[in-house]
Amino acid sequence: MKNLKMKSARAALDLSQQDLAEKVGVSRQTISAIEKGDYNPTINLCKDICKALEKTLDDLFWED
Amino acid sequence: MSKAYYLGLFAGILFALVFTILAVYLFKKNNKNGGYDERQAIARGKAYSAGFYTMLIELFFAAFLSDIGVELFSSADALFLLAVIGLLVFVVICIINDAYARLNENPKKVIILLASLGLLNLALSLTNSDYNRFGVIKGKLYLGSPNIIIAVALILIAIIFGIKQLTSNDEE
Repeated sequence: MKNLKMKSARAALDLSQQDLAEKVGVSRQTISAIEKGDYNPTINLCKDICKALEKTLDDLFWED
Repeated sequence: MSKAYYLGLFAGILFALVFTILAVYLFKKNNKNGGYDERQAIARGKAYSAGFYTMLIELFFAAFLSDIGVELFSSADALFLLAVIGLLVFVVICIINDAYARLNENPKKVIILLASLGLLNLALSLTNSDYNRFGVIKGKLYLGSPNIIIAVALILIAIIFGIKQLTSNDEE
């Protein structure tokens, strides 16, 4: 399932996928895969992404 | 083959081993996944598995052919082909899943390095080939030198990686 929350949080901070990838320490393709729903990140990566996007785990990764 | 040939072969293998160990030790990454992120590490794991099973299937196929009396390649060439095909499967799967280049690795440099090594091996194969044992001899294909197999593999990897870089979108 696509992660549109993460995509919009990233867009709100005016970050490209490459920018977020560098902040978090992963490849751009990994960020793309997470946003497209093709890859489920580990909890540690989820936490790193939340810190980078200034959001909580619930905000980005909880399914409504 | 003369004694000097075997000594040279042994010296070459020893040099390659020592060089590889030194290179791994000197360029060891602190990242627990060896410079790859978690998604890439998982993709590489699946690629290793695919390469391994490919080699297993090749071995069974080679054994079957040998049993029915069909020998397509010389033993040395067959061994190299077996290993290189398994390696190619691994590499192609990595490339498809964007798990070939490390995080901070410049893909262009990788392509240049691969292509250069491929051309070097091609040049070596032309100078080192045993031309008396090149071509189809008694129903078996002899390639003269294993360098040609390695050259083709490296150039193929460079091409596939290059195509992937050209066709992947900047932002998806």
